[in-house]
Amino acid sequence: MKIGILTDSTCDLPENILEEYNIEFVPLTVRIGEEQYKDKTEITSQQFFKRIKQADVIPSTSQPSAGEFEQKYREMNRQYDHILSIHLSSHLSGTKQSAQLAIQKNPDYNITLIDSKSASMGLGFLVILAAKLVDKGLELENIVDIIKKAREDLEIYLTVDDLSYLQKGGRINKAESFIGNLINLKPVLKLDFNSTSVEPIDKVRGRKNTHQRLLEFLDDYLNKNLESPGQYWFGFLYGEEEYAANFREKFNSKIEEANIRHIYYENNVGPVIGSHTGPTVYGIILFKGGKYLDE
Amino acid sequence: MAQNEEIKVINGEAFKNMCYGALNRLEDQQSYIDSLNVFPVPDGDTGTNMLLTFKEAVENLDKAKSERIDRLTQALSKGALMGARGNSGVILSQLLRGFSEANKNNRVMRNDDLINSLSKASKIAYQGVLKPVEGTILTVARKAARRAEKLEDEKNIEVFLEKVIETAHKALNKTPDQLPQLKEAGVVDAGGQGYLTILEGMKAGLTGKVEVREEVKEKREIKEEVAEELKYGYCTQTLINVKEQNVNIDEIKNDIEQFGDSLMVVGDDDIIKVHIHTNHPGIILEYALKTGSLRDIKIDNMRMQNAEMRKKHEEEQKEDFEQLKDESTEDYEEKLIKSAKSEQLDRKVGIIAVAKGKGIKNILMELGVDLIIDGGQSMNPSINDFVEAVEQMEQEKVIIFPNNKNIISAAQQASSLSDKEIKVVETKAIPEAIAALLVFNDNKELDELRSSMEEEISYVKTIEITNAVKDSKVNGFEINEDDVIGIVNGDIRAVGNSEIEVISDLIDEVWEDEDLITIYYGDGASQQDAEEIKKKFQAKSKEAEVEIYKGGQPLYPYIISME
Repeated sequence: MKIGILTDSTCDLPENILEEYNIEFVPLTVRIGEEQYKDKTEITSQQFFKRIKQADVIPSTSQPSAGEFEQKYREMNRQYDHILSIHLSSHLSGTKQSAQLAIQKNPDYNITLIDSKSASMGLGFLVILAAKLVDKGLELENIVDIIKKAREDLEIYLTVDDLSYLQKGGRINKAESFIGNLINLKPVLKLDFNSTSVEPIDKVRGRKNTHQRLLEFLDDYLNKNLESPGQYWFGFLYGEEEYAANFREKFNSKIEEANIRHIYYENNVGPVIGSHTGPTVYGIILFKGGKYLDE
Repeated sequence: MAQNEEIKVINGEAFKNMCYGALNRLEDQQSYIDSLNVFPVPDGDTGTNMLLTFKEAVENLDKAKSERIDRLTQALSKGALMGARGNSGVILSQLLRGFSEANKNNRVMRNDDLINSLSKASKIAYQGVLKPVEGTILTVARKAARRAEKLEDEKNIEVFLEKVIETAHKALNKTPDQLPQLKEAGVVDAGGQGYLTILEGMKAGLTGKVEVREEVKEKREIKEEVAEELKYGYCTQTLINVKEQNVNIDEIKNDIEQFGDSLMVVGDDDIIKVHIHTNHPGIILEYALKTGSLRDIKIDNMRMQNAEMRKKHEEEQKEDFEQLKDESTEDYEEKLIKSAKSEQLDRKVGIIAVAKGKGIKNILMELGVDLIIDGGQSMNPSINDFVEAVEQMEQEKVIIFPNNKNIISAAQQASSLSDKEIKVVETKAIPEAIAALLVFNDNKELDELRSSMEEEISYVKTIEITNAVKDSKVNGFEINEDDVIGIVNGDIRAVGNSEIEVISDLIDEVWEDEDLITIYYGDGASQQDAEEIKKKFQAKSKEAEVEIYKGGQPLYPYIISME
């Protein structure tokens, strides 16, 4: 059985990875004032951040239409016996609903829809895992079970210098009571399997303390997963380079110090994710993908 | 009481006289004792703190409806305990507790009771201090007690006291040999002097050799001066809760100037205070109503006040307004300021902090402080202020940030007086409280919480800039009054003529590659000045983040933290 994998543009995977594993995606849409772009296909992250600075507006986003999903499913249906459709958390977007509608309208297609309960490269990691499991020739049912299980291991921690994007986009929980206006505090935010929105979990003064806090979560994750075999998958995502450079270095040397088997990915957040985080975001994705591959 | 009769028994009346005598003497010597403070910074003056503490003690003594010594010493002790301010005030309250404990069930006091009182006083004072230091009030109290213990046969209380005082005096004179800081500054210990003053005053009060307070007489004399003509008869004041933003204070001044003199208008976007002497208070209030709603309206007929009162009133007004300038409108007349946010947070642990300056108070409240006790520099809150604050808290568990080394002991005393579970986090400056608040966790046990907070504090270096209130020699520095002094974690580390110069010196001296610098500027400093200081830090490190906040604190133009 030939299994095809579809995701959406918020998976924030580098292009070469998408190509390598034949992963297809449906783009969401980003709007900057009057202008409208298909995520990643019509605008890159760099162009996007530059544009929102010029336009000085908070961008907005919209999920793909059911029609766009239908079209993609139709194309893929010709090539594959079954489609594994893995998407942005339904708590954060209506993308999964559009996919659902498209599936209901085409009951003859073989499609399994999975809510990643994650976003950005967290979604991306599940998609890579699915592709690797397909390559290994596992049964469909087996793959779906593993992906659903693996979702629970994913942890994303991030920070922003400027919370206004997350607040305006409404994808954050009780931010007002969390962060003040009088003194500059940096929020440490979390997104994992149980999150129904991006959760502020800590507030920190100063860049160095923020970095330290994020790295503590890496330590915790390593400690939690000491017992299980397999490779770690670490992701580093960021908005604009200037905010991220310093921490990337620390994150990398911390991983080196840990002296463990791992793969490392990094990428900019795409325009749609970037609309909700703003350019100042950076964060880490922690996952032990190797656990599910018997490597 | 006949003066040449030997006094062998101290009855209630005599004891009260002793206390009045001591209070009188302390009042006379307050500024002298203040001047003995080694540290030339404008906070926590020993003379002032001891006087305020003793004053509350005597006020409580006056309330006692008994002439028994046990009741009276108890009342004195209790009053001192509630009124104790600053380290010296807390120690004084312990000394007085010694008097109270030594006289349980005593109707009068004799030689042996007095010996017992002085020994207990010394003993309890020592117990109350975590790390007793010699060359302080403790030494003076101990040596006085030792001498007293040898005076079993001296039944004449006047002679007895004279001998004890003689010993206390000698002990005081030796304090510079015991504490190098005192020697360097060329002074005796201020707290020790305070205790000696009290003993001397007690003796004078007992023997009746005190000058009767002259207040009554003075007042009469002054009344006669009132005749002087007043051009404007009504002192008119009001606070305006501004309804629209962008009110122009100069415009208000311009508009009402014509109606009188002594005009003062200060405030910010929310609240404006107006003060004027006028013959038409109505017009002023009508005018003010156009700007917003009014509160705390006060109209005094100055023609009916005496000159002295008027002068005093005007001076107070000036001081008030000085403080309000630079837009930092403080919360008037409120000793305890409750955070609007605190109740909705519904926490198990309540947080109290001592602070001065609107900006700093607001930052603390934003970071989770529920209740602020106005005070700190220049005014140390009393134990009672803490007790009241704790009582106001809804929570059964409370954390206190004293934010000044001279306030910690009062906070600790208060915590032992309450049924609630209270922990004092020993913050000596505002930035320490800010760092500590960031690790607050409502679910932790108080002990655990305090230790994690105290760990945070150890990472913070605090620079405080102020002006010397007197000449002094400290830490090898020859300090003249009004010099700018730079204090790092409580120690004077630089002295100079300008703030920027002192701060530059300090940065060179204590810089350790910190990466988060926070500048809180207060009265006497501006955003632009702070920007200049920011540049100095950035010259040390490009990586360092330097943040500037308006603290609005009095007396300290800059409080800077380095983390």
